[in-house]
Amino acid sequence: MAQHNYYYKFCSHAIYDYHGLQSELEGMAEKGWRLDRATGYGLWRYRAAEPKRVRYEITYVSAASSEQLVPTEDELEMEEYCAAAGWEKAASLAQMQIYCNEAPDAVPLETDEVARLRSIQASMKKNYWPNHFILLGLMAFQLVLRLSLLLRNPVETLTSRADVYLLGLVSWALVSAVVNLVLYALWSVRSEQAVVLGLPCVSQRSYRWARRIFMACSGAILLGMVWVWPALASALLIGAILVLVIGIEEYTAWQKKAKKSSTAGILMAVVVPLLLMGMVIASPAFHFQPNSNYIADEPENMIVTLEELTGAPSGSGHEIADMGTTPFASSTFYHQDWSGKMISYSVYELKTPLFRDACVESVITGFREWKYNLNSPDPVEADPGRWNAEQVWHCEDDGYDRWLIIYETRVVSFTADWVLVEDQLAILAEAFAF
Amino acid sequence: MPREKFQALTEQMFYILMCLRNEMCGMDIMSRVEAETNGRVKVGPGTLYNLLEQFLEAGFIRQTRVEGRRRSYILTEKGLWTLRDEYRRIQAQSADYRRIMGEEGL
Repeated sequence: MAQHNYYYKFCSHAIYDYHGLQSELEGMAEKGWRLDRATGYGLWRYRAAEPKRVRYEITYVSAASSEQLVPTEDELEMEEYCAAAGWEKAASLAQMQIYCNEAPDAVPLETDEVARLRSIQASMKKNYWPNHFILLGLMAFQLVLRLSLLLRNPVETLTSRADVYLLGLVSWALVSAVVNLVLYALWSVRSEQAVVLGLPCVSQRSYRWARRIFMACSGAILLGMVWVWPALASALLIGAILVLVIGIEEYTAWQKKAKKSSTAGILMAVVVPLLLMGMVIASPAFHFQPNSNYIADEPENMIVTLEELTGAPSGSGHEIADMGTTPFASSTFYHQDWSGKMISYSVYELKTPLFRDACVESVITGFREWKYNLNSPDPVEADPGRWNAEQVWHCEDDGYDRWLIIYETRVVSFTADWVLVEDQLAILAEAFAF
Repeated sequence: MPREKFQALTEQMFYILMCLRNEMCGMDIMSRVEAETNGRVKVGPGTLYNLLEQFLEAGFIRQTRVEGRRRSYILTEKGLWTLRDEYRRIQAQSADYRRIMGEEGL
């Protein structure tokens, strides 16, 4: 039986929280797992070893860089200093350098908390702040775009799973960037106060569970793609993202280990996953339209049929399509065309009061602006009493009879290709007030 | 309120600067500080590396030689003044202690 020499574990500590990281690594060493690799995507690799008490310490070299394929001179100089004091390098991640030592009485790696805090702050200024600010800026820009889309087309946006999902994803990414920056700023300020008093920098170990929950939520949101796109397309996209994130880091790690530096190689590591992602997004699986899901063609699924309205047998010709369903709103399209007569109607269910008025206004505007020809008359408000509705708009246009009936949480837009008589209106009013 | 950089030197900063009154490579500083303080003060390699970087940036020391990966440094005029200021600050503290605590017979 093959012996499992490696163990992978998600690191739930912030990169600057050296207390939490050190105690985690020491705990793992006591269980017989020594850190072998630290990765930016969070999955850290441990190798099997004799269970032992091993001291781990973390120091930060602001001149080190994750983009460098070979260790920088600064990293090597630091390694030499550490080796002289008996510390062996276990792993590194960007500016963070992780060392271990089996001697219990070895001189600590860091003996001055003020200097340590300065080096952490300088390192965070180089990577952590810019990365989070770029993410924050991109997500804020995306959020503004998505919100403006929501305000311009509230019904289309709220009934589109893709739009609702992307709005949620962008909001989550924005919140996570803000939370991470605030947590670091708090840590930095509290650590400043602590070192002035001669104490070590503060620990964020107590946030570990919050971080784990946060990471689990992020994973769940990413997997939420299957709610929007077909499972295959979602799996391909998630796969491409993982290849992009993990592939680049694994490739650079391999090059670091092999002490090779190849621009073509790193370009390949970036270009190939990007091409893969482009191919996935351009693939037919992704262009499946979830907003026009065919539901049924049986007359019993219609709210009202030609037969009910005209009394004449109407046979088939029914079509029902889900134009979009989300927890906030849904839109269903009904159509029947038989024996020279046609009815079609859309029913919008507004499930949230938050954007209800904006949705109603948008539907009214759409109804008023839609015309069969240049001479079409403008729709007028009709008496809502008969419909037991809040508002009703009506327009007879080129032989078509169009009605817009607005209820508290439902809007119906109805069109028939003949002018409805009183009895037919009564049937409609009864049918739509379900 | 963030602490101003090098407003007051820590013990490690003080001894590293003092060691660099003569040209010395980074590696030797760790053992020199320990020897000069009879083992009372130890400088960790991470602290040493980061402090040398910070001192270079602040202009307290300058690099004199590079042999392989070994870099040697020496105190600058600015570093010397910083060290003297710190010494005076410690002296003043010490004098205050003697005066105040001495008056109270402690």
